Amino acid sequence: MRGDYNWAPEPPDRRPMSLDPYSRWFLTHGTEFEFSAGEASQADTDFNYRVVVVSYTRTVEPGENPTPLFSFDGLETASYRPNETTETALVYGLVPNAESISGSLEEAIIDLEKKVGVAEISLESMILRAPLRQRSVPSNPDLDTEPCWEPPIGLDPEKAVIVAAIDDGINFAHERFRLSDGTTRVDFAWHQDGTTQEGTRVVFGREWERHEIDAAAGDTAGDEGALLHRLGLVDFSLPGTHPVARRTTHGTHVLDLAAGSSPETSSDDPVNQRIISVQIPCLVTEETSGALLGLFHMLSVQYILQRARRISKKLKLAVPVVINFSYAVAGGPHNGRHFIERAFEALIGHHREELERCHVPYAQSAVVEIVMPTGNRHLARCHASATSVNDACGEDPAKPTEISLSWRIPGRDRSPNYLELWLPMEATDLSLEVSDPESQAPASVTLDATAPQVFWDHSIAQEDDRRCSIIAWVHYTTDLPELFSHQRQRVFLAIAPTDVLHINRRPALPGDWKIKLKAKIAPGESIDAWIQRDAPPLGYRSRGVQSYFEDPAYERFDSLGDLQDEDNARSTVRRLGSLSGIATHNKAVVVGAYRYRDGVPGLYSAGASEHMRAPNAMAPADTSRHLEGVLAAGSRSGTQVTISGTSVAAPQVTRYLAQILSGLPPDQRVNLDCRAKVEETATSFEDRNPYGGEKPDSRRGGAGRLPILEEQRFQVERR
Amino acid sequence: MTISAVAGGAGGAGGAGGASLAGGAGGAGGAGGAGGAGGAGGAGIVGGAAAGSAGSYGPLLAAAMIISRDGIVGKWNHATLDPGELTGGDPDNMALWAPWVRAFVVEHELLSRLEFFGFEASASKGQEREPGVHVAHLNIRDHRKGGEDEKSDFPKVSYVKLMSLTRPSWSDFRNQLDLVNTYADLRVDRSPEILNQVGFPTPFFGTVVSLHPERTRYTLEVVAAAQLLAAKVAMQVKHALACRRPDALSPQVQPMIPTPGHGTLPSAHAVEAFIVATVLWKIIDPQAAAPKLRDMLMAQAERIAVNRTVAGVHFPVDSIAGAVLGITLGEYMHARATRADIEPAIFDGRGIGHHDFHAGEIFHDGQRRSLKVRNAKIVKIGGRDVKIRKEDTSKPLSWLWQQALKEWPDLRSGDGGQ
Repeated sequence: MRGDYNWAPEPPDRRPMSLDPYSRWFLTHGTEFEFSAGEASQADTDFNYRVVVVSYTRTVEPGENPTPLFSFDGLETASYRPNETTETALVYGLVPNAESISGSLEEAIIDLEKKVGVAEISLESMILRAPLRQRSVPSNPDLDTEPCWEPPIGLDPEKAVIVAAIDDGINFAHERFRLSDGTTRVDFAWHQDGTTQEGTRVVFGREWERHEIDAAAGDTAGDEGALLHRLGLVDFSLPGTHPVARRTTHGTHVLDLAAGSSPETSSDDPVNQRIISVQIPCLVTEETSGALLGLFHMLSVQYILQRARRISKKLKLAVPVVINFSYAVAGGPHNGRHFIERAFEALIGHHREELERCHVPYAQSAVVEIVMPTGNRHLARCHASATSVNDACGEDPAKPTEISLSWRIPGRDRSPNYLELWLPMEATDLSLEVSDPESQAPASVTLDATAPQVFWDHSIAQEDDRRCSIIAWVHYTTDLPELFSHQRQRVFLAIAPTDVLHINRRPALPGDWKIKLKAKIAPGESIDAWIQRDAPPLGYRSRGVQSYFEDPAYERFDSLGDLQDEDNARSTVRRLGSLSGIATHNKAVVVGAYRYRDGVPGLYSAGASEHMRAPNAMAPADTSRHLEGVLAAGSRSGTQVTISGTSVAAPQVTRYLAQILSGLPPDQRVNLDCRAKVEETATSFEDRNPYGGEKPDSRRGGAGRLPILEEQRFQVERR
Repeated sequence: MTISAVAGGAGGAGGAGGASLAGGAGGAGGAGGAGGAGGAGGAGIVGGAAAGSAGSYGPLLAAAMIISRDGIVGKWNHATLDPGELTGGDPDNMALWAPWVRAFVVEHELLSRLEFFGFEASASKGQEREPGVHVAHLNIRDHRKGGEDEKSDFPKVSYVKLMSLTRPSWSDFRNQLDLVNTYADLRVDRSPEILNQVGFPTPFFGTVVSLHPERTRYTLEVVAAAQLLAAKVAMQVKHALACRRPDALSPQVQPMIPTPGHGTLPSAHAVEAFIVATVLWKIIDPQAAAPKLRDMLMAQAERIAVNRTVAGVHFPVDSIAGAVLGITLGEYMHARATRADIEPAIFDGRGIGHHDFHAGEIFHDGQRRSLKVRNAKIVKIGGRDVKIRKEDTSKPLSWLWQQALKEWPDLRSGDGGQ
């Protein structure tokens, strides 16, 4: 590298310190290479909004109805009381990117920060550039009224269940989501990239109600190309990505597995399986690190529950909701306290309180389940862990535990690479050393929760120019109060892109960056590291290249030359523990993948380490080692395609749970523990010993294998 | 016995098929495929079978024939066979000629009655001045009737407008380029189709209606004649309008196939695909008993046209012009074969802006439709009908058309094939 690089505190920045590191990084240092930098725009104000979530938790007096702690023009609030003395609130929405407005938003958050620590308040904020074009942002949304909803003919309120999918590229007009009379089972579809319209009831994008979908289908009389154009799902006169134009789309396939039915089925069951579809913006899917995902997931869940309440109020019954979210995030504390997991819990609580307020029967026990995949990173070499060297017998407890990592950053990588290191809350005496691939000399990096550190060329005199030379960045968070926090300390490291084509930045150096983190931690505790995902999702152009940990002690291949499935004791780099960082919550249903023909877990199917909750079960995602994937709907009606991976295992369990809930009378639903039910069914399959030999390691497969889809397919044919 | 495809002569034009890296396989869209009448490529699914040219005997075989004649001929007995004379110019003689000969005859029948007249479309209502071209049909009045000039051996002629096309403005093309960029996203998805559709994409229609080199041989000859007509008319119009290709407006287009060596509008692929869809539909379902068949053919034609935009070598407006021209020429062929009248069409690309190509907007329920985009009349169907009188039908083409009709069942007999 040319120049004289060293680590230094980031120049003082007025930004709120409660900003999560991804927000801070993108807003302060990452503007040239964040997602919108490469996108074609149509209007000057494309990508000129920010999406914001400010979440706080505080103690309150029992019975008190306190004034909201934080509000801002244009933002909505969802609040919830986990118990009598605690209030959690999520304040969210879009604000224009104008300096005056975002400036005053940040001031308001800084003011709020001053109260943290004074009163018992915890605070976490996310501000990111919204990946939305002008045409998707309404000037005057009507967020206070609800759409009308009438039950379709033949719906039995006690059997009604809602299956919701949050995904990418969903053809919600597909024949697999329609009844035999041609009407759709999709009650509401939110196309977040869609073109907004006058009187819209969603914060951005376009919402389609059932009668609108049916009307559009009627108008286009069997011409699906024209229908998709009418619904705004395929319109090439608009810039951007149009995933539904492709033959294979993740969302359509997943939703078919979760809730699809043959339109010719004579059984009347499908009318009770209602569908809510949410297609998140393409750029959110394309931003593979998942930085944007938390915000849009939260907004999607909130939308689904709002519409579920609408349906429940009409049917005078809390309708169960099963949400399928076939996405995984690599990072996070992996203890159930990722922002997405906490927000989900808060939104369910809010959902029940709202139903209660409207006197809907069974409000307090309203079922909301979320089913997620374990993720496909078992062999990605993106997780490492070091367990405390101290043992419980009280050998020198002051010995620090050390994790030493060699992080291989690829060349020609147009997107940044991120590493999250997580430590116990009580860890002390932390020290961090980072060496770059060229000098290989370890440099000590200060861990200061009030000041992120930058790695830049200090020989550049002008600060603005010096900022362009930032190729690495460290952010440290500690001591977040208990209430709404991760309950772990975090060291976050970002490396800038190694390919700077078209942007005015110095490229980071590819090669092995060595990271050594030391801390004193209690016996049995560990320091964990995860590298964020950086490879293109299905069907997208590649902007990033995946980085990984390099460790000579890690055995990639076994003695016969095949991929090694299991960890050894020596390497810091671990397969187990690659579980998706948003699938660690005890209340989620988490599903891994196995091969139907021989019962072997998919080589990619991630698993939990000892400190994490294990998945609940596995579903088939491949037929065999070489016949990959599961057949389900392609984008267009009448087509089938294969997709593999834990993404397609999860919706099979979603489908199963929806059917169980539909068949249970409402007063018995409260007694159903969905996780236990899934595990019980898996156990009963395993008891038949279908494959001979042992069932998969429970840290990857939970209670075992669940060939539900195959059983159901067979039953459908017999019907 | 060695058979060589003599009529490859027509295929010689294949080399002219633009920047064709794959040589004789018809080149990057266009006249090259004309060789189909004689050899591989073009309409023939299995090219050789449709070629049907006798070729020549190799030297060893010729020598053997000379020797065997010596052995069997015996004393010369003068003319001992009397099959009778053929009627000159009788369309039924078409059955006796080789396919390539029929192709030559039909090609002339069609092209000799078409002429191209350039004009300048005036600036009006905010539109810019742009070049245009009339595609005109030549009407012939038999001089032996009507008794005008009995001394002349040649009939009286007049031109009537079949279709006129006006070039979009430069700012329209700049707007259209954004669509080309957005469509590029589908390149990976559509690669197999794009690469297999560089020449005449006849198999893609064959898969819809079940074409076969023996069973539907005459239909395939009509299809080849249609493709040739489409290509030759398209090249004339392209020459008249002289429109630059997408990669001339930006170095970022980077098409995934070579940009062919002719102007961008109209898209020859669109003309060729829509004329084929039209003639196939009119031959296979003349009573319009099965609209789904027509819908599938048109959907395939649309997809072929759109794939060219995905590949980066066409603007969507090229496909609009090409689709209207293709359907018009298809109806024209049908008219000249079966004596029907057709409405003329006008394409004026000025004002198209960002509008995308959707076949449903210019063809619906068996009819071409007019298209207005904001205030611009992009497509107008109607005006003085082109009347095809007896002198304007083509007897050889009619013969061929009738043979093709016989190859298909009557789709109205909906009783399970009795």
